[in-house]
Amino acid sequence: MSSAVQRRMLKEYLAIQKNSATRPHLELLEPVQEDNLLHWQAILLGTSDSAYEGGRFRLDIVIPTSYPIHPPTIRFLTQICHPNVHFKTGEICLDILKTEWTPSWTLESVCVAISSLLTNPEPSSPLNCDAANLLRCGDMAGYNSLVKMYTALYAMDEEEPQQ
Amino acid sequence: MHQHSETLYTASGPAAASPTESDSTSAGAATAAALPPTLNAPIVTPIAPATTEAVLADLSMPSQQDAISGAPTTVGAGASVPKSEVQLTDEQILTQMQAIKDEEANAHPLVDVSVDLAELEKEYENGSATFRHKIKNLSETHDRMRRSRGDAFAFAWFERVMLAKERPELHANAVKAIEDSKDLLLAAEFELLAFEDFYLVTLDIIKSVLHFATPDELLLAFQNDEISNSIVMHFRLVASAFLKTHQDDYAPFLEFGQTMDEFCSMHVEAMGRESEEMMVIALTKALRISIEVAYLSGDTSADEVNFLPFLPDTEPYMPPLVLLYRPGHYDILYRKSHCLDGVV
Repeated sequence: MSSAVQRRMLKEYLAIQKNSATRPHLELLEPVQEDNLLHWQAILLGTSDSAYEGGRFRLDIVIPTSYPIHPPTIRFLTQICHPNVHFKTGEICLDILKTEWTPSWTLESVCVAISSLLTNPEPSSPLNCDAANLLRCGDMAGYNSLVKMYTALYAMDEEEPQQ
Repeated sequence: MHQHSETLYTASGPAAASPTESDSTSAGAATAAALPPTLNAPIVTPIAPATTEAVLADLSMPSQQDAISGAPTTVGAGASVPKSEVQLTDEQILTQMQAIKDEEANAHPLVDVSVDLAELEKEYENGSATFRHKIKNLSETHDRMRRSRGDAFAFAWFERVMLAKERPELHANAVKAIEDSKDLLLAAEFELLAFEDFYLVTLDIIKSVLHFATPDELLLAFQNDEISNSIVMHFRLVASAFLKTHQDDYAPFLEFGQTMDEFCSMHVEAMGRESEEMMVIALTKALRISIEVAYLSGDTSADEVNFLPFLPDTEPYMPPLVLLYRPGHYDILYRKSHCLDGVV
């Protein structure tokens, strides 16, 4: 089993290196350490048309040995204000990471899906109720300024990646 | 975003063969008895008799034999289960369902050795007369069965090819069908990276299938998790790709405003989900294989097991594979050789 997942992750690794130019909002997607293909990290860039602009959001990705039958576990390491992300733990509420996972996803396509979740939140299934409530009552000015503040506070440091 | 719609969809076919109203009620009640009470409310949505089947199927119920035979005791137990007051989160429900499935999975191998059909009769020794009668009739034309969990179709097909060494065209057709499935997946815009490993394992097995001397050797290969998962996954993706590339024909059968993409990712591609009628249709057409599914239900209006044929668009080049459907999974049936060409 584990050799299958290693083989698959190696393929993904090679494909990601080849495609790096085609995914502008994904600054980084690579194994944390070269000798462990089951633990990855990624950095998403806030898109210029959103309140996350200028932010760099680090993701922690853990691959189960049963991948891709089962989904990877992904959470935000960078604190982020988003209706579908737990403010403290970084847990992400995204259907494809849970109930609607299918093995036809790859790490790269999942990261792109998370990136698009940033600009397309789902306030109906919130992990951050405060952010979701602002959206639900249509207070876009309040929502955007809250997101901007936290982005500036937590996602704009040029710190080295934590080990 | 999170709906339990996987339990809501019902294909039209099994409904036709589904139990009568009272039978489906007892099946539902038996399910209720076997589940933690809190699971009832969110999942069991009484839409149609077939829904109950889908629910049972989706959970791969450990108690399915009770559910089928509808023993009076289980009905009573089910009726006394209180309606749920606690709302579980999706994740809790998913975890519980997975636990039930895992328990079931550990109790039975993926594909089992073939046994005399008398074994099936034994399962229903204390069941209803309807079931015993139907199985008796079934044994007129079928002599053996092979219990399986998940890859009945693949095993039945590959075993047939393996045993038909005097008909090499069966092997050639099978290899060609698997090879062609790669183009189908690409046409449906699946990433090669995402499906290649499953595809290659499947292709490798079918290419080498003639080297297996006995069904038991093939069985050994199928009892390897990696091989088995890859084959099941590949066939699921093939079914999904077929439905996605034939949306005009099949999308009208979707319910609850689902799109074909949603249906496929929730029901067809995800492992462990019930193979519904639409998926069987997709497989037969995409891989050019004919299948007959025997629906064993408690419907008292018939003496015979209800057979539903699934035909490819091209002329079938071998007798149909016969699968026995009971809520939750398919087993393989072996038709007596003198009945192979006729329809039961």
